[in-house]
Amino acid sequence: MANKKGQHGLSVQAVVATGIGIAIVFVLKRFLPIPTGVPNTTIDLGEAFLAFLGAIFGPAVGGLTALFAHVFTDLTWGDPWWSWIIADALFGFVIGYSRNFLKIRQELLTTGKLVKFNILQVVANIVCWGVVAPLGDIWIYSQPAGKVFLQGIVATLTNAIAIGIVSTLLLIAYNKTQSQNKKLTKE
Amino acid sequence: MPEESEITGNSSVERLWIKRLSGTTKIVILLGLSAIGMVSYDTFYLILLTVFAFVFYHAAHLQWQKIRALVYAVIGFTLLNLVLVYVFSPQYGTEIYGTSHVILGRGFFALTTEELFYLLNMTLKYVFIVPLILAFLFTTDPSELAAGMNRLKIPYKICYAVELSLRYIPDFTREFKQISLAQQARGLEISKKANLWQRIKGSSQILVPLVFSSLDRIEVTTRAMRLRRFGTQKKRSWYMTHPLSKLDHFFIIITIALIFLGIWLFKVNGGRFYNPFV
Repeated sequence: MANKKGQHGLSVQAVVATGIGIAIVFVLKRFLPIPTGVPNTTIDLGEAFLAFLGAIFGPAVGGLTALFAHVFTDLTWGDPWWSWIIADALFGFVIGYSRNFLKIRQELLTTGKLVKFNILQVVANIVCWGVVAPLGDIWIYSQPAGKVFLQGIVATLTNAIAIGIVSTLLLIAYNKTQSQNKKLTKE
Repeated sequence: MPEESEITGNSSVERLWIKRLSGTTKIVILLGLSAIGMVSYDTFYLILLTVFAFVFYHAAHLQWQKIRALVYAVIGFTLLNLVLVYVFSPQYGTEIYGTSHVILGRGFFALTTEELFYLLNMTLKYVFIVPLILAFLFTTDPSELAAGMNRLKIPYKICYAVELSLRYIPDFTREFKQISLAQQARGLEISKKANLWQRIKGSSQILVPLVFSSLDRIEVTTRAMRLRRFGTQKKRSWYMTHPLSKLDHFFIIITIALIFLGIWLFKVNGGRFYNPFV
């Protein structure tokens, strides 16, 4: 056979991680939104899982997972809202770059790395939900600025908090399982 | 389980023409109309798209029981958005259409015909695609969708990931409910009775088992797929692929025609908005 063992495009693991990631994010967005008391805004644990997944598997998996999970969630609510879908995909892609400095599958997690991860996620949240999503609403959908920036700011805050708490805890928990494996292989 | 049928469709309506429509066609119709409907603010054009969407809705013979919750959610969401837009920019219609015909009140919150017309258009933009989505959601096979995506030149690995996700959504929904019930049986309160902090804590306790079982499943599935030499070739064939029928071509041509009509209307209206006030 002419083919090499080399991969074209995504690795097998990236494909599976994307597929399962989409399913989990969809289920979390659909069945586990926590209302904050402000109408139409929820603390979205789907985004927290997305950030965690991106941190392990990188930007391609993060971006694709965010894109399709958001499309499917919107479809089951009856209406795809493209400006927010684009913003979400961009967020998944950007947060995936945290893989490069977290190196969670090779090295131990340090407080410094977690701080860097959280700085990245807050910046990515502000850019995607505070800037890209509202601008998309204004340019694509011609919605008034006041309303979309309010929605954007609320989404930025709730996502930053959800990711800051839940993703950080998930990373710490995951790191524990990883470092134990490492000790076993060294013996 | 209602969640399963939401994704996989109902097998009792096998003979409908909408079920024979290829996944490719459905994606083209959905993306094409959603893109042009997103940009256009021409009232008559949006009404035309709504009528077109209802053709599919009618063909799908959906049971009201199944879609009721979804329809109510869309109505609620749309109303909330209308209220938000009005509260934040009651004069936005005037800004767009350039004139001001006051019906009620005065000052900042004066209700103008222009604002009402803008809100009408916005509502149409929210709802025109809903019948189409409802119809496709209940009549499309997941494998058909992946095969359809691949025909549109999307890399097969991405299509396969999407197919995998549709395969796993019912599984994870079931697992999520089991974990949730198990945790509630242990005294975890995540209903409306609990306060915000308790709910976040409770939800995290559901999240952790779900996340780690999903990571295990990624490992297992990856190994199984590697053993079967997934991803070593540049192409992949799909069991569900079949050539586009006359019906498929017919609807693709109509969709393209509708998109061109929309673009032509931008020229006629001199922009995205149809303005009856000048």
